[in-house]
Amino acid sequence: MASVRVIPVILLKNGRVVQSKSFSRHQVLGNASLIVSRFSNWYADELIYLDISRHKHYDLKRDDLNFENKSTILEIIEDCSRQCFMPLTVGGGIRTVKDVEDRLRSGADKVAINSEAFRNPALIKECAKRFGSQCIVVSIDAKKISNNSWEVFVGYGKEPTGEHPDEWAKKMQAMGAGEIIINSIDQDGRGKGFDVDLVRSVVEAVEIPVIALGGAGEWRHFAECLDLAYPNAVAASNIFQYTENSVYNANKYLFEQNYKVRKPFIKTIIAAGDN
Amino acid sequence: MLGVINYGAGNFRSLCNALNFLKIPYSEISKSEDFENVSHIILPGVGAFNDCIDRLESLGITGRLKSEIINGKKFFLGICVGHQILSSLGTEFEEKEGLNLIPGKTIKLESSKNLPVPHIGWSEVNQVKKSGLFTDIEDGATFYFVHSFYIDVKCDDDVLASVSYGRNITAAVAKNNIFGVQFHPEKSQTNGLQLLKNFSELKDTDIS
Repeated sequence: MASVRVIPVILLKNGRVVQSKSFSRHQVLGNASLIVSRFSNWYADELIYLDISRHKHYDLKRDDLNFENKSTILEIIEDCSRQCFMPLTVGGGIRTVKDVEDRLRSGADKVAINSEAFRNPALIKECAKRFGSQCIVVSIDAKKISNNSWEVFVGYGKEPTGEHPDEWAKKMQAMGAGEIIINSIDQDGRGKGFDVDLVRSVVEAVEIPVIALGGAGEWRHFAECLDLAYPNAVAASNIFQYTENSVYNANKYLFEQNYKVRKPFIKTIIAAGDN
Repeated sequence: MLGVINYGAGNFRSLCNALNFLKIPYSEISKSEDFENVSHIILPGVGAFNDCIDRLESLGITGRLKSEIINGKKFFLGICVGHQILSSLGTEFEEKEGLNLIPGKTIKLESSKNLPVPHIGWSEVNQVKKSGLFTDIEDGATFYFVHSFYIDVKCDDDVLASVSYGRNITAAVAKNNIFGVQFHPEKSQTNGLQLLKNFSELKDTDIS
């Protein structure tokens, strides 16, 4: 059995790490590669990078931070993967097989595809065949439309698709997706807990691993989601950004309550290189 | 000197990142002559069994690789698909002959509700025999797995470590100078870095 994964999600907008609320407000938090090395030292199980830049320009006015400007997402991936000895998933703005290939070559282990999976489902099939299902993650953003009914939205949560997330996840599994990220647009950035019914509906629909995202504001929200929806991984963005050793603390909280997470561990990863 | 086979495998760069971080010198192998100054060989791999075999074929190094391992007694470490192709036969998409260095078949994991396939995530690796590859790594240490297939090893003696996924399946193999790991050491934080360091330091006296 694989441990339940606890995954920090880093939202990247125009090359800077931001926090998100309801898919619209984005506040800048800082530098991408510094944040990666922190999560790596805190022994995150995995990292997910979602690039939510609306344009392909990375006009990084980083003078305030005194960091070298990184001009493309690929350079950012390269930079991060040099110090990221854990799996790295990269999503956002992926339209073509070449986009996938470029990201994998730059050091991503998996890619997350969202809007384009809806616009061109054959892309998922093609990528799964070419690179293997294990590195093709389909990310689904869903909004509640009535009690126990949700709709998939694409285009940064703005365009309705008429698809139900559970049915959609099933279709994506059939196309060759190796994993599903299910994100609640309603819960995003609110810190009030996951939409557990939404997560469960997707978990029950597919055989591939499901990552729950959207709404965690306290460690107990992870526990609640695991208890009620049984995802293979719980992910969050904002909650991991604010406190020191956040990933370790999340793991510790779950481990002590007997959830099947990895044993909490903290150690500067440099140590292995210096042995 | 360590040599890393570069045949376009997805995790080539990740592996190089890890070796750079460990300050382990290495060279790239993409043609037969590149094997000459190399004592240890790593074959990274992500993706399908057939694809891995085909790519090695297209570089024209399959025969040389086998001979370096069998006759040259060079240390070999296969990672994920690079480990699976050590077996006799692959069954992904269609049957395909492997390098046949570890007798056994590469077969698909059985999925069920609580055991999704692919097996993705951190699992405890149980060392079933002693080996320099696991020096300073505790029994039951966690490593990162991403796979749908595994080697159903014919001789128990060749199994170095196992992982429980519904039942015990092969996590690592070892036979003289030949090693293979189903998990990804380049993505397994401290434990994985240690394993790569251990491999790079294996000496002839470590195997009898």
